[in-house]
Amino acid sequence: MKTDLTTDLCGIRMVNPIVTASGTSGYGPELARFYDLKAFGAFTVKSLTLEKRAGNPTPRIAECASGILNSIGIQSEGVRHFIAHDLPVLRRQEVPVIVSIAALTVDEFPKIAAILDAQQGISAIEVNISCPNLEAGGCSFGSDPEVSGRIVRRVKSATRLPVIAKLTPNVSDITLIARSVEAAGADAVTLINTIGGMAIDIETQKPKLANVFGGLSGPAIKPVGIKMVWQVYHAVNIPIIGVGGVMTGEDAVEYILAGATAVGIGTVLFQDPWAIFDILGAMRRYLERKGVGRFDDLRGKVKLPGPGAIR
Amino acid sequence: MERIDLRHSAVVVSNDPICADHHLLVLREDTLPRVVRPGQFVNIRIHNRAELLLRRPFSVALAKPEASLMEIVYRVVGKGTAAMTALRPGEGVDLLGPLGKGFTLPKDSAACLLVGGGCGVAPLWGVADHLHRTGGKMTALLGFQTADKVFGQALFDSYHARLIVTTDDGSYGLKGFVSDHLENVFDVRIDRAYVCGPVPMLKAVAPVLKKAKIPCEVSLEARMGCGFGVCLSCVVPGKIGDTIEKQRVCVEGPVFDLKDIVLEDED
Repeated sequence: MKTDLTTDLCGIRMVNPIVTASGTSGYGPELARFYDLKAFGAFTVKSLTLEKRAGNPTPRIAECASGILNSIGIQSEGVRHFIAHDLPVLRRQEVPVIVSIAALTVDEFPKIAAILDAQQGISAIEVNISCPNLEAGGCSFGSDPEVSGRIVRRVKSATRLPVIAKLTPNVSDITLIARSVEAAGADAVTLINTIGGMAIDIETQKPKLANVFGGLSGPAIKPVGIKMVWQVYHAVNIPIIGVGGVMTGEDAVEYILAGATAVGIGTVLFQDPWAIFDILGAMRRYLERKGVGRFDDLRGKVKLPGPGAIR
Repeated sequence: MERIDLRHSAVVVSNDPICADHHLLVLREDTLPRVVRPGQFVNIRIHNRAELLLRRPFSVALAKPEASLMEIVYRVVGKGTAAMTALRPGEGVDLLGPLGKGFTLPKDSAACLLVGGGCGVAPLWGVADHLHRTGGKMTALLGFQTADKVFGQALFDSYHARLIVTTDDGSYGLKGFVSDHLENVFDVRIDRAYVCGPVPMLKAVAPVLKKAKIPCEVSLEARMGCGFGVCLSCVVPGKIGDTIEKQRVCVEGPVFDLKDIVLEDED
């Protein structure tokens, strides 16, 4: 049967639902050495800051069972460097570009957004209010519904581009944050960012990360992401980019059944930078097996056991 | 734009211990041994262990393109390398490579000093092989902790290297660290030095080579995520002009000119 992977995310026309998860694919040129980035539905760049940032000390990464703990700390050359060096490469790739932005103060977010607004070739701005590895701001923005909404409102007023809010799972009720950013004008939400974690080397008796705490990603966190996407799908009307532990096309389908319009992949690219092609193949085969033409018809269609099954 | 495909599947030829804590993995693959340069590395996926998400980076010790073989020396330090010891001849290995920037090799017959410590001896094999084939002269100063951890002398002997082996406790060769014996090898002409080993060794060796004004390249080890430049896990401070810039060991390295990096202690 004829299958169609295309989708639309807040006006961004995507050839398939798979996007890169911010921070896992660099700024574009790195993966563009391997294949055309238009293989992705959209390319989300690593979070940009207003000014250059050195990031955290090393070690910055530690492997855990079925997961990776990282604390890179938003090492960034700054937004202007991206515009001068990486954005021209991305424009030639003919892939929708989502630019993630991060900041240490609320006021910095609209400043970065305004700089990006003047550029051609950007499809949306993703507001990273959920980085667990920034000394100030970071996760604390995204765990406060009022501050989250305020940042989104400020960014919305600084740009005509669609604004996507990236949400942290490190909260007691993610739907409160999702509702707040929706009310503030967010065009979509991305969830989840990494889950806060810590690992200790019992031989040296030191933390495995120089920053002590880090963010957990990889298949270990997928059930958390699936649950939160389902919760947010039922709490807001804006589309969702589901992220967290997607290694296969089947994992991506699971996020779509939970309510995601698009699905981010990240950690899997460290293992296999070409994983996008296997994932898309498996997604297409799933549609064929189920006799469904498009994923838009499956979004949020998880079959629950009955009313009252979820408390 | 020219596309790079780093994906290779190699076949294990042999995988045996070569000393108390290191294994030699010999792989057969047609492409990589022809294109990999001394000092470059490959990123190996740990087979049958899906929960070990990250590939493990290893310098290619020696490439034998005419036989479609390459050799990797690894130290058993964690779950990934422990799992690798179970690889048997005939099994497949999924790897990405060649990755990173290798050593700058001298074009004509040069007199070179190779300084290696422990696992860091392995990346120097390829340099020694190049020097042997190009008529270069070499002094190899290799340090190990104890006699049972010494490996690779036979290879340097076969290349007719002037070979000095040290052990920390004197149980084999000269007693002490390579840095304790470094100045003693300056009795012959040395055009360039190639160094690989643990950071304390690099920090001890670097000032001596700088003082002797010997151009030097070092190969660094780092905890990596991706191995191809996107995750920014493996950065080290590099000197770019008057400023310090983070350099990725996986892309800008693992080989750096000694004057371009700041050596930092590992935790």
